[in-house]
Amino acid sequence: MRLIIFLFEFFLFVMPLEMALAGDIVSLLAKARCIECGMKVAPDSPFSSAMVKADGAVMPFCDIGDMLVFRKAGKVPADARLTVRDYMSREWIDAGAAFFVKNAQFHSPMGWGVAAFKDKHNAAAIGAPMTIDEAMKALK
Amino acid sequence: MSRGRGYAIALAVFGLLLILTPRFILPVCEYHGKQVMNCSHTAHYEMTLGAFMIAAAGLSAFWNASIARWLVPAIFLISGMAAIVIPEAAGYCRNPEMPCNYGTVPALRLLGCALAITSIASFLSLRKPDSGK
Repeated sequence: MRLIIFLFEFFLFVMPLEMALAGDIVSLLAKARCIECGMKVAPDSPFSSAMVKADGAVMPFCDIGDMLVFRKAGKVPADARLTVRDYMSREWIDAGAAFFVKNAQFHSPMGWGVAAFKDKHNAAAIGAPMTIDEAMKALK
Repeated sequence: MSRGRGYAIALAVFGLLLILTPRFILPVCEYHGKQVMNCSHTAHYEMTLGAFMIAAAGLSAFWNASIARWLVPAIFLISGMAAIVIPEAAGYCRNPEMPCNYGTVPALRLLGCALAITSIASFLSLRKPDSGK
């Protein structure tokens, strides 16, 4: 019975919310401006990232570096989650689980040159993989 | 030339510098071919402040000495503080490799400090009666 209730709740509430959030990110990025620098966000850019607040509000960043600066300034609420795009597949992934690489070959919108990777070996092929905390400290 | 007129000219020159710095002398990122972003807004606010300062310098010709004695230092001080606060309030690029970060904003802060120093100088100077020479 509990399983049925769980599945009912999952399909009725959780899944649509997750789908809405994913849809929100894509549609919002198309017209949004970065909350750190105010630049228009390129929706197809591998350097675009976003903060999803607990209430579902999506706050976009044009550059992963801007997201890290925002986090460094302590502006990310404890219940918010940060999402980045895998540089290889453009898939949205959790920033906490991503591997970050800083490399001059990445021409990101704000010039930070930081990309995120889902797989560590893909990241290691381009530079030294860093966690989100290490990437944040690596910023000048 | 009276001291009051001298400070009015200084105010106009500072106003002109506030207009020219973010656009031509040390332009913000937008004028380096980047997109419009927060530093562009900073530039526009600073240019507006500069225009107000030039207007105030023009209007100061109509002020009598007793008004100018406190109003001129006040305008210098408020303008200086605004020149420093505007980039923090409107925002600018945090990447030290961006033109607004290494060029425009430090120059604006320097101008703000110069305005504050001129405010003190004008306050001390305008308290004394003008000899008229």
